[in-house]
Amino acid sequence: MAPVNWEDRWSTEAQLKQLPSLHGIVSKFSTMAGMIGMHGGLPPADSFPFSSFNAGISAAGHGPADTELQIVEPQLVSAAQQYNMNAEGYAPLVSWAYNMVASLHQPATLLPQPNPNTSTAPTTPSSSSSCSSEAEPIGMQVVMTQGSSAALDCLFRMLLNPGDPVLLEEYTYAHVVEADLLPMRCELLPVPMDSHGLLPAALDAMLTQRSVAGLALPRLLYCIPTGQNPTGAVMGPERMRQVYELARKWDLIILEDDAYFWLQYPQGPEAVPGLNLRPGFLSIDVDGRVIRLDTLSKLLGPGFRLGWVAGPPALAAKFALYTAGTSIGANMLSQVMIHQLLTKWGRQGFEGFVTQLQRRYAQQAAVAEAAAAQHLAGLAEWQAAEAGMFMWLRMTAPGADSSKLIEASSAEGVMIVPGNLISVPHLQAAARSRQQQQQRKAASSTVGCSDLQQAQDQQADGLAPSPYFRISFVSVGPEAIKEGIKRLGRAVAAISSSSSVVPAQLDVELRAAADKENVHAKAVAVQEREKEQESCSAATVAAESLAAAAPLAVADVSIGSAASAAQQFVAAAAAASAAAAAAASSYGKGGVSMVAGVRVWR
Amino acid sequence: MEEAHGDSSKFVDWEQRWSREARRKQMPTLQSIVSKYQGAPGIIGMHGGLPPADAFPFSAFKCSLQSSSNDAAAAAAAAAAGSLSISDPPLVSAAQQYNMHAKGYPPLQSWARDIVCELHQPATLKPHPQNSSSSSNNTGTAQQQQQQQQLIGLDVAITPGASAALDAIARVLLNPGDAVLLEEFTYNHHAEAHLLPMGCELLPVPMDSAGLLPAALDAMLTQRSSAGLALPRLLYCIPTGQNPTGAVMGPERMRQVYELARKWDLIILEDDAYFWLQYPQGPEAVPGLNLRPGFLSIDVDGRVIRVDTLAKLLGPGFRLGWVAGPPALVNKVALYIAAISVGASSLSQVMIHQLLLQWGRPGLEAYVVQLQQRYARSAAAAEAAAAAHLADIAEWQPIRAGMFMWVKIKGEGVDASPLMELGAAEKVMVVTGNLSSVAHLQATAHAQQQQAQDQQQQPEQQGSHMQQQQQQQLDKAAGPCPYFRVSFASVASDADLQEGFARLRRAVLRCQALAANGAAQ
Repeated sequence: MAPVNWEDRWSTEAQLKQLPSLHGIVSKFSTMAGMIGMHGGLPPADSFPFSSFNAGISAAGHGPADTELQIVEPQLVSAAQQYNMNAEGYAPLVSWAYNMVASLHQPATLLPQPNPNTSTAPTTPSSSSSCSSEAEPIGMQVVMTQGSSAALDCLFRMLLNPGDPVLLEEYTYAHVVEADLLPMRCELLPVPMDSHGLLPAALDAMLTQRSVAGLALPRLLYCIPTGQNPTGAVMGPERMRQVYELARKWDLIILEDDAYFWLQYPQGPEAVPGLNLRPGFLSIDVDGRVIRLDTLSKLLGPGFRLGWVAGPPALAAKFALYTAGTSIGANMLSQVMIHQLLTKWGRQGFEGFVTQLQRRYAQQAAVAEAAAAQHLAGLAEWQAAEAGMFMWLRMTAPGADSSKLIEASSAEGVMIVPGNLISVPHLQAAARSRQQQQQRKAASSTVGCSDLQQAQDQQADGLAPSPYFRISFVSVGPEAIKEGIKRLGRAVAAISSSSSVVPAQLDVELRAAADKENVHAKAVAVQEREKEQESCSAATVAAESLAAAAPLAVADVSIGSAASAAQQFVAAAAAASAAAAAAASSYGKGGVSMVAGVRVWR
Repeated sequence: MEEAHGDSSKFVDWEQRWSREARRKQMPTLQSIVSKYQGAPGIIGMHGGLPPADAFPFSAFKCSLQSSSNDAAAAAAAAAAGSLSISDPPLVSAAQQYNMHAKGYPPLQSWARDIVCELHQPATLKPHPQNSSSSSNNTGTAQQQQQQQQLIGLDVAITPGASAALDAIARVLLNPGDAVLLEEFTYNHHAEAHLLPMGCELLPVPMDSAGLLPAALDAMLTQRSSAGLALPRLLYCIPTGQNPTGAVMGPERMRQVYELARKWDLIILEDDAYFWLQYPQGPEAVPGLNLRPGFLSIDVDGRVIRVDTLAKLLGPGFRLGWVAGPPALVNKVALYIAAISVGASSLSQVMIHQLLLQWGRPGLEAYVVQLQQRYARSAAAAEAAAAAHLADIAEWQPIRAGMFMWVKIKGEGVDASPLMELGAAEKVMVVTGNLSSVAHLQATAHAQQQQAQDQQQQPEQQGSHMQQQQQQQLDKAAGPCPYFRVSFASVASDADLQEGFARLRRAVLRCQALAANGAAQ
């Protein structure tokens, strides 16, 4: 397969975004020896207010015993206050980031491209013939950004035109949906997931269905592969490989937002991995179709506003242009200071810092799980967190609505995030509702009952309430976590007892029949379940079979035993085909595929 | 006569001004919950994704301060300050934590609002002039009266520099393809990085040494109106030490432009990056903080957006600036900034706020004074060097503000654009006028598009020859541009300035010779 041709990927705006003419000319001449530069708009270096920067390094860092960072060299002090001269960012920091990405992810784009014509021929030891059988590597470049949020905004503008469809995990980083994609009027295509992230079979089924229906195919898949926000899901290497193969099949760009990459702790606090981390999609990106986003926010601190984008050179060059165009890049004070810190630490000090952070988060995760076992057992279920900052729980009472938890939990003195605020279908419905409200307001000047109206609109969208909610276990200490989860137990119990009980099977059929605007693939609500490793493969089998029978109806079914697995499968298949039958007629109207309602989180 | 304009119908209704994208941009629900419950008493916050404060790498910051001047007062002020120490744990943590407020770090935001109010005395903070006259002529509806009694108000949002603010404002107010008014020579970055990629139609307004020409602006709009063309709703301008021309709009010119903005219902976007660098009387009598205010000072309708930056005041590396204007507009811009980048770096915000706090007003004024003196001295040296080397072959206006000298090569049909190459050969770099000319930038963008289309149609043809041809064609189309910009502020010494202008003379002479040869052929 040929490498991705990025020139075919730019949005209309990105096609028009060119290197400013002044930049080209200035960089062509200004480095010549003996040049008197009267061209730039740079303030003189000695006019800046600061003449040195010192910083104490926290005990948390595991650097040399000397714990003071001193920046006194005039060139460095000046650079920290001067313009970012290089579109890719402060060169020493760019090169640190490049080396780190290359070392931790071993990008496949840095390996020689296998030549398809000669790949089957027996390899000879002669260097000349091996040269001819391998093409140049695609290559990789790194560009610093002022945090990953700014990078995402630029990348979406570069790769999407208003209205374009985008694939993303069904529960995701709400900021991307609300701040970037919905204002761009993008069509959001939520992909069902399990505890290992998005489901390949479901992804394939969605795309097949769209293709068959003659709908525009998405060209971009946004995902958070490690410690996913909000579900905490970690994609294993095998799941990644399956998703990557689908990206090749459907010619998708994968945008991996790996903010929690550094926070992996699959073995708990006793055996944290340090820098020996499960790599991202870059490691298998033979086509150059992966854009990787790193941020220092969850590693060193959000206040520095630093992160980087890594990807094929064509993408990186356009991205650098965008970053320089919007903001002239990340602030230099942070870039210089952080680079000096990293230099002082060296790899060993850096690994020390990463290790203590992983241990700390793993310990907090363990405290949260223990507290949940004590106070939420029977009310909710969850997976053990293996990475990141979040624990993802599902209220088990039938028809439970976690949005009620905002009020109930604040009354108890604890705050969490309910699923509807981070669910793509719910966010999309809320945006639609707001728009309808605005139109209504414009039509008649009467204002009021907006909450009621919004609820009605969501009902009209056929969305069942989300039973999920997200706990962040890193921002407060262990004692507060225990107390918080205890309070949460009371709040969840209060809501659960008042939840209306709807028989799941009936609910599925009613909705499938009633739904005209949207397509709902429904899973069966399984009332009694235990968590088992086998159920994962059973669920995948079930999902894949369902996908074959009715492409949109995908269930991730969690099952307690082999016997009940078969039973569940039959029930799920029946429900799913009912849903698909109802869906088939409405799909052609351009409805958005949605997975909603009483979904089962394995 | 002016009072006649002062009716409430001129109050800008910002809800009618948003772009399609801006209408859909809402405060993210999660963000509003996070900020609502963050630090709320009695609440254990398990909702946000904030790293714990004691996980950050730095435990204290200590910076020494430049005694940057040979001026006694400034040196004294700087010496008194000596160093800046940030060791209070909440501050050290805030410098490394997320920006929690869409409008920026509250102490810095409030500092910026105070300085804007003081230096510009915004008219939006004063009762509308109509208030007094409406009592005698009471024909307005109750709603109008209520509106008149309320102040429009002024708000400020911190941004990661002016460029990020301009990008956000363009997206808030413009749809792709919209027409925008701007000075005929302007900050090329705004045109090339923001407006042209949005497919905007750029309408260059002729200018003189006091900025854009009101009569020309009025004529352009009248012409468009009678031709039935879409009218622009936004005027972008750089009122002080304009980039690249150095023009300073005086109060009277500002008032004329503002009246036209009312007549044609334009929003004025004033990018006042060089505001602090005013020195109308030269180095001997710099104004300090006693500065000619911007359009905000006369903005009775709430139609002015002011963009300030610390880049030319304290340093570009901090990436800090702010947007000031009517609250409705500032709220929307703050939402955009929060959505795009989660705001400016907290490290910069906390550090700069602590510096400003430590300086106090006398320290700030002393710093501004020495900066103005420094720039004024460089400007005087540049003018002296130009007088020595270019008097017979070029002309220029005295420099009153900012970083730039704007020079016009004398002679019929002279084009300064070869000066980039010719100057490089003489080892001196300036920026030729065509690179900041709106007409040229627009023509170049069109040519690039054309070329991209041609290449798609005839992929076998090599681009470079075609490109050269097109460049020549478009230079012809936009006309020769005899201007060039000299940046004098970052030249190391007066001797270098003299040498630079001596080299420039040789390059300019060759430019004139090229024009003469062209005319002869």
